[in-house]
Amino acid sequence: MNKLDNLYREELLWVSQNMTNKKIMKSPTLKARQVNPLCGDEITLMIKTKEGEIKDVTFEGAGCLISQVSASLLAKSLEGAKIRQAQKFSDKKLLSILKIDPTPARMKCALLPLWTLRIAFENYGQR
Amino acid sequence: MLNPDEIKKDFPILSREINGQRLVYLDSAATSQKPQVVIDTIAAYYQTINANVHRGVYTLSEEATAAYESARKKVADFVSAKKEEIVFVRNATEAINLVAYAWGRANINKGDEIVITEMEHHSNIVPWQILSVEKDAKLVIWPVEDDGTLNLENLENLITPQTKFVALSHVSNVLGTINDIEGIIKKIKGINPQIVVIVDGAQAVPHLKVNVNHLGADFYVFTGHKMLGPMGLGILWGRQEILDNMQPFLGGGEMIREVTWAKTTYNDLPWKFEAGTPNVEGAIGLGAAIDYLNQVGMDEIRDHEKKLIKYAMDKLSGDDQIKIYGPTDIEKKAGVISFNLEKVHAHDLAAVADSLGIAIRSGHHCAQPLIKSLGEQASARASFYLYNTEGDVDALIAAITKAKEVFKV
Repeated sequence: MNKLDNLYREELLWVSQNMTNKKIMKSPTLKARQVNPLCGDEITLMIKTKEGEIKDVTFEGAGCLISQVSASLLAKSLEGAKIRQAQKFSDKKLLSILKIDPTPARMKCALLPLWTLRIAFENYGQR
Repeated sequence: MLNPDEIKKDFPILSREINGQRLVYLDSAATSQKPQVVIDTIAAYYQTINANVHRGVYTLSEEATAAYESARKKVADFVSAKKEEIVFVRNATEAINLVAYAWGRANINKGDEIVITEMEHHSNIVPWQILSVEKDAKLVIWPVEDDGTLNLENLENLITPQTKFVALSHVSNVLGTINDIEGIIKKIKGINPQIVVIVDGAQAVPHLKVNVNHLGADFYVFTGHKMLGPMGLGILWGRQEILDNMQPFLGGGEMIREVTWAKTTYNDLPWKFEAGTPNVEGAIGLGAAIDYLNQVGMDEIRDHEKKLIKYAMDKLSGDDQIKIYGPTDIEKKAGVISFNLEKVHAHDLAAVADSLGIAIRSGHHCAQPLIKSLGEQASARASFYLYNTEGDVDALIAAITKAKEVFKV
């Protein structure tokens, strides 16, 4: 498989056109925004929790297909998870969901949503 | 007439392949490629005359010093400056920071106003922002018109009795706009001749014939690596009187005349501003690059780029899924075209281009406020130089077609 087909798999292209969780959430429990300073891509994650469990996750943002699809898939896979589990969500796990093998420059696009999630939890921890 | 196919042969990197395809390099606004003669000159410097400059009395040091200073003379001649007014620094950003620290901190006070344009690179925004915060001065923004140009009539409102300083670029690194620097500065100095003006010429000197005396600026900065020279050598030009009256930026070796515990007296221009061992290979390499540019001819280079811009603009503007930013009049545009393909993020377009061996820039181009004012978050950018051909533009168009297939738009 060539580089391009790996990065832009059919499934990811489909997700990019069907991101139902790309929307603003009213009064989220947790919220964080991160920007990739290299390219300006931005992600805002909004999370609703109840009794230590993640009930709903949405996101807003602008950026390349990889960063936006990654945010959408991350949001989806967090639903129903315990906060304690979600706090351990690894880079490797997100890449395995995306099933891509990005170059170092594009790795930042793929992982931006996860960095945003970690900031959201940091904010949570400080409350 | 410049023959880009012949010129390409002088640049070894342009014969390499990327992802199995011929490299098509369309990012010269970020950095230019280097001709073999520049690479050879740097190698020859280390093979034959390497020594520290302005320090030894032995032959090698004398030769290295002569080569370093003769490079300075070439740079000075290239922009019609005096060699005392050419200060070598690391890059154009450092040149701007030198002015912000050495001139700005001595001359900007509380309540003063600094005018900068909306089309500036971060390097001509952030130093003035830092200075404004430190001195409690006001940063005033000169907005860009919808066609990517600056309206000189705005100056009458922007320049107030509090205005002390104006910073603007000669050519926009995003829009390619060539600003009428001479006209702008004439107008500024007509309102108040005491206002000091710095011009960021990083995107201008590689592509246009520049005569710093005609422009009327007080400071003008540019960088070697965008004009076929090596990285790590920026140039600050300043009017001699203003440089003479400034305190040094960095202290250390080279910039002194005499050091005692009581006090230090400073060296003459330009060495007063060149503390520490300078980038000798950078200067000598840039000297070779300037020889190369002179041999081709700056007018020829500009004519060639105009032809390429026209060719590219005609092709791109024929596609209604493409949005182009900045001036459409090629007389007002340098070899930079920023654009977006509808519904495809610039990074994704650049990734598709890369798969075909084409290097284009994508993102905010270190000019986030400008990109935001265009209502965008990123754009793709193709920039041209003397080694680019119509075939390179055709390759870009093919990449756009391919991106439409990949992303089904």
